[in-house]
Amino acid sequence: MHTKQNVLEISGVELTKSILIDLQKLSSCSGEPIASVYADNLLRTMRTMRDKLPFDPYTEVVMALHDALAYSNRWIDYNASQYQGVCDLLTSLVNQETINNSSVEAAILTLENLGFDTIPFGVKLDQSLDIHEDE
Amino acid sequence: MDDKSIPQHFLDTSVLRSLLLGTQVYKQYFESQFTDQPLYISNYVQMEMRRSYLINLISFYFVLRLETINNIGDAIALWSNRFKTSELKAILQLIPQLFSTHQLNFSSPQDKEKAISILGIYIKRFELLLRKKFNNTNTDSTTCTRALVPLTLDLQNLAAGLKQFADEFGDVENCRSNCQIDQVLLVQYRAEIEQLIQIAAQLPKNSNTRGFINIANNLKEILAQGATACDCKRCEKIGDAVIALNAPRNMQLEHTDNSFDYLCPTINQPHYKHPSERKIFAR
Repeated sequence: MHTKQNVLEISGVELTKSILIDLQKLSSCSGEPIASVYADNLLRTMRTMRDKLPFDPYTEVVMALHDALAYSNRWIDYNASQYQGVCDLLTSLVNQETINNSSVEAAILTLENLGFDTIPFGVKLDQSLDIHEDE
Repeated sequence: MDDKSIPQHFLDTSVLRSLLLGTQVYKQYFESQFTDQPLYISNYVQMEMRRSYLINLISFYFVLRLETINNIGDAIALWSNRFKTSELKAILQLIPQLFSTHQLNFSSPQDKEKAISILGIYIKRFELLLRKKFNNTNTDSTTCTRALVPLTLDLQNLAAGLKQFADEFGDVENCRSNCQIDQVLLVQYRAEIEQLIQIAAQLPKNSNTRGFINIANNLKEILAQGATACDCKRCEKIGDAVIALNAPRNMQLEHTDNSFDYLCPTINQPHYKHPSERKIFAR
């Protein structure tokens, strides 16, 4: 059991490293048509990670980035500086020996601070969401 | 705005939910209003988001998890057929977006398991941003205990953490026994509340005043009945008043609700009413 857990942890790091390669490419060609090559590969790798390692803390960070990029193809709207920021963030994470819940939370907040909307799903508020019964 | 020199913004739940859950256009409107400025919320405002949205997301998680539900489509069908209030309908807007973004098949039993995991991760992230994305005034004089119920989630056993949260958040008797809402309403702000009730009594009832008048009527009952009238259900009906009374007077209360137009001037709370999402779209 202990060996299996170690394998999963290493795989999470390895998949994150793979994601980093595409992110680096996106950083250098953001806004250009060729960026779609790396966006497609990036999103597929992220979903593989989701399916193979659903309980890995790296997956939690990667899913936050996935939702920001995949929703309405917003990957096309983010700029080189933002992609570089993500690269720096993920590099820092994979270089850590262990990643705990605090690291995950800090990473997600960093994504938000970089301008990535990690909860991009919008609901029409006027008609659909009453907070108080009196409204 | 009432005072353009006020540098800090205190968000009502209506603005907070727009920043977290609004459409891109509405989010962009608010971001343009608050560019690089610190935004503050209170524990009570967080509690209102938990009550109106987070707890419903958790409920949908367990609908999806039911053994009698074969796939995502079944869960959506059950939810849409049986749960009709506007808060619950909001879930129906979110869920298809979330699962479509993940390229899930709504008819696939295999993808149901992926959906459960994705939704759990989303709930965990939403709660994190609710808790950490904005500054906290740390001045909730109600000491709302529901606001303090922790959501502790382990990805390998999400259901246990979500259930524990639902149990504790739903235990309104215990939460009420630990909060100070009666002190806030009956002692600390009694004079202001009496004034609000007087103002409401003089207003005509129309679409602009209805919310405020309903709040004032509930406040009137609380003053008449005392602490026993201050339960969590009643607190839900006077939420805007609690938020306005608790708002830091040196901050501007940002809102979209009409009721604050009557609540805030009476208690000298700087405030600004933002246009509704519908109006922003119409521009």
